[in-house]
Amino acid sequence: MSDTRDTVLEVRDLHTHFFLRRGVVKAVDGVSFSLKRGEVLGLVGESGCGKSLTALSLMRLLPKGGARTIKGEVLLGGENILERTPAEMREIRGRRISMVLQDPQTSLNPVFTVGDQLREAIERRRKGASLAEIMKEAVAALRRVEIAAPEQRIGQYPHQMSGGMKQRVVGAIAISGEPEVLIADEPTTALDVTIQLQYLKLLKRLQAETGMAILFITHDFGVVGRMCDRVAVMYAGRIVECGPVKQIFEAPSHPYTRALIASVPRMTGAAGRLTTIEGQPPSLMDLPVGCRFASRCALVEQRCLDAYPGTVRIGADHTADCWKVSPS
Amino acid sequence: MTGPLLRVEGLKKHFAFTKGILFSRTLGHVKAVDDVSFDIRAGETLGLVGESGCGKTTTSRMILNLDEPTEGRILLDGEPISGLQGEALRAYRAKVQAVFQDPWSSLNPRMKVGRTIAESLIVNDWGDKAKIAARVRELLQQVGLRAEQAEQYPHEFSGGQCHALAAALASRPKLIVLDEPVSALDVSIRAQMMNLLKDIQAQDNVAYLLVAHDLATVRHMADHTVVMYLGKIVEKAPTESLFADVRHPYTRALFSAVLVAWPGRHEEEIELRGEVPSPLNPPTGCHFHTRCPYVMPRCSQQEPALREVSPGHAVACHLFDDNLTLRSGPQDRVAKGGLRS
Amino acid sequence: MAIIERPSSVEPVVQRRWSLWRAMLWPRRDSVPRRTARVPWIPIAIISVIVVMAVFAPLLAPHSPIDQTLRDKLLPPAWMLGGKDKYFLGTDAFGRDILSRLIYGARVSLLVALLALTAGGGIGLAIGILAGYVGGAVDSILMRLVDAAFTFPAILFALLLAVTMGQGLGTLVIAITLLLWAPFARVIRGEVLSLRQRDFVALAKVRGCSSLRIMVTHILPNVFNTFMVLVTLNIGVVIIAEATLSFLGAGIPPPTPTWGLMISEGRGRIADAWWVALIPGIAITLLVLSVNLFGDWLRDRLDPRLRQL
Repeated sequence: MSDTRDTVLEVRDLHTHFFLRRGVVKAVDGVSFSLKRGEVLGLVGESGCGKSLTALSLMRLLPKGGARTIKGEVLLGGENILERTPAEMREIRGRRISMVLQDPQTSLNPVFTVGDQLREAIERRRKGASLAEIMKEAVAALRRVEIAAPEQRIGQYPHQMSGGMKQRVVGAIAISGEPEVLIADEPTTALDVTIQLQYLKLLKRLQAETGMAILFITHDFGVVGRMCDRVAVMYAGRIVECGPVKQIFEAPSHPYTRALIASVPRMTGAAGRLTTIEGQPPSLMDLPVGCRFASRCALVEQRCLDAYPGTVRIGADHTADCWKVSPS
Repeated sequence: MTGPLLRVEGLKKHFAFTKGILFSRTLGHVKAVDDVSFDIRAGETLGLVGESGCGKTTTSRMILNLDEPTEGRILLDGEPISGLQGEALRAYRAKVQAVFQDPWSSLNPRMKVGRTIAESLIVNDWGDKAKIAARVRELLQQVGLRAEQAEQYPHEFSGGQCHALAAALASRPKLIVLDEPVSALDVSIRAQMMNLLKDIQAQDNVAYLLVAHDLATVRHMADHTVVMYLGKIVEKAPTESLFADVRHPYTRALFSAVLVAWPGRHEEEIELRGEVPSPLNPPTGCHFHTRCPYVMPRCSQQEPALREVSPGHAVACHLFDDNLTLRSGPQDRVAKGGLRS
Repeated sequence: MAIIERPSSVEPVVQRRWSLWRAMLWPRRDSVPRRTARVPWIPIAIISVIVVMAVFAPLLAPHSPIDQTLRDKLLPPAWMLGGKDKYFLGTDAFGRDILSRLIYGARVSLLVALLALTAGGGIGLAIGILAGYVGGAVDSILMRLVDAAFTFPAILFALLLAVTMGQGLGTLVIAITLLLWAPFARVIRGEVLSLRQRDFVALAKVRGCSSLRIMVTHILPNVFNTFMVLVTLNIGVVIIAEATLSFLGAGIPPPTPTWGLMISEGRGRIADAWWVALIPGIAITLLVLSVNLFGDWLRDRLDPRLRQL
């Protein structure tokens, strides 16, 4: 990891809570990470850990109904975008930060052609350009995501395309603004496995061309291994381990990461019983005072229950939130 | 028990594609399942692998008697299941149950879980209320749930397929069709579920038809594996044999795409060209030839037959023709195949 | 660390005063509704008052609803100039006490609504489920019937019925039922079509359930919500229908008071004797509004998913 790459996105101590009548759901509770230009950071965790909400917080697209970002900074190119006005955010979204979501069926508007939807995205950037110019760019955008016969596809509706192709269109729309950061929230989960591979390779190629940074949210370790340079593991609203992918896969430090990796069925090695993690994650309304994984951890000690470990640096670029890891 | 528990012979399902309401014209056929044959032995698991549109779900539906095959036979314990009615049908249903992919839509949201679990018992007049309640408690325990949870509604469960599994086990089936049972679950719950399924198989000697797209899951659970593409079987083998020695180019691509969770390790990465062809208009000859990295002229003209290339291991590919002698060329890489650990 | 928003916006929303009124008037549909704080007390009170009026009419009404005192005709309500305390809400063109007619009128209106909704709603529900679940030829035939019912001039038919069978409650209920069942059938069928695709229906089949059992134990409870919404939405329709038909002479014959009839009687005198038409009009509005709000709450309450605290 070259340190000469710029940090394009830095998140500091982000807190996003849901304020409901029955209590406060601390969905994102102190998340910090940084993203350098041209790198892919994976954000891994199981459902309910807060990874999708983190992404939405970055884009300031929190769902209605009590969700609010109450603390923290999100520095995009050095400026805190959490303090921007809605009008300014509209400029930032799509242009400097963009997002791709999981379900290609619902990401595209079924009553507009693909060309119309691309046009909408391109128009924002090329105000004043003629329709012909914009459509030319749209065709070019489709070609860029490796859709064959883009001139014909431009006039098609989403239902006339397969899932993989729709997801590419979504990708084309997302990068049309040439963003510095692309957030991909489980973009391949709904795709077939061979199509998934195509899509991931496409993403990598696009990234190499544009130098954009990607925050890749997923629950699939295989995808992480293929796509990501670094990975952050989330549990109960916090990042419990973060570091280079190779290190984390070969020698995971946090007990949760270790248990998670051990429970994934493998293509090689023994095919017997899988290791499981007993218990349930804590309720986000009623978080324990100490380490949140303590109730399920095989290595638990008294101090784990008494106080939260805090982020321990265990390598050049590797951190873990655990009492039992040795700092470097 | 000599013969297999379930035998599928030459199974075909063609959906007519019609136009018009009153006087409908048949424009064509979607050959969702096109000549599929396999056996499942008692207490064993057969993995049915393939991507969307390959026909695995349609096959499983026919085995569950939810759809009638267009051609072919399905035999349970040697008895054909087509045309079963009334008592005979109910007896069949008691022996063959299912667990589907989405835990949230698998249960009636307005029905207590205990009632759902008891359903096949109620329908079959299995016993009185007390007896049924006792069996429900037994089942809940078997899948690792508490007895009180019978009074809960599905939405009160935090995910997981245990209640759906309990419902499937109620009538002591001989075969359970598992259609992507773990793909909608979290990673840690997935492992628990897979362990549970294997435990139950050992306890109750129940066979599974595991329909999945995830090869790693199939590897952990299936004794035999069948790989399908566009309605046809392309490769069939005992799981160990398949994983040690992958033959068919599509299977190889599938393996390559499964993203072995080890960074920096790239098995021969096969990126398939193009999209999956439409089942309305499948390619001529071998259905896979439009995307196959090893395509030859013969592939578009003639459909390859499913032939055994090693004991128990059958492949449908022209690369393995001519009395199974291997010619030189790209298939050398294929023949050497398999993932070495 | 920059703090974005002060935590003062954290306390429960209900503490804000006007939200208390709102919570009483209609239950808010949060992501997680709470039970007792959200019971719609005012609508329930209104409905209760009207039901009590209807049931205990003979005890509550100060006068007979049909006694005419022409001397006292068209008197305004008691608090206005020219009004008499004896006739609290005034009198109509025949000198009949509006309040008493209102109280007795509640009887007829509620009875007609109850009977018609039960019959029409019930028939529509059954046909909708049957058509939606069984599909095929059955569905086609039933839906053609529904189409026919929609194009039918219901009012004309009601008049025809009145002529052949004679005016009265029975005729009225039959006429409104025939008007009502088709929309129910169509909406329920749509719901059933999508329910049919759900996994639990296929699994019920796999477990050996007959089609009838599936329709009753699986489909019916899941369309009940929609059914309740339709019922509440249609109460207003039924009451207005009754009014129209009574006005046209196909409903309950006078002098039996119904709210609809009262409105049509007072129609011509809105300018000078507005109370004759407006008071029953307000009563209808209050009833329909209350039933709608109550129906919303009931539907949410009955949904086991939303029931969790």
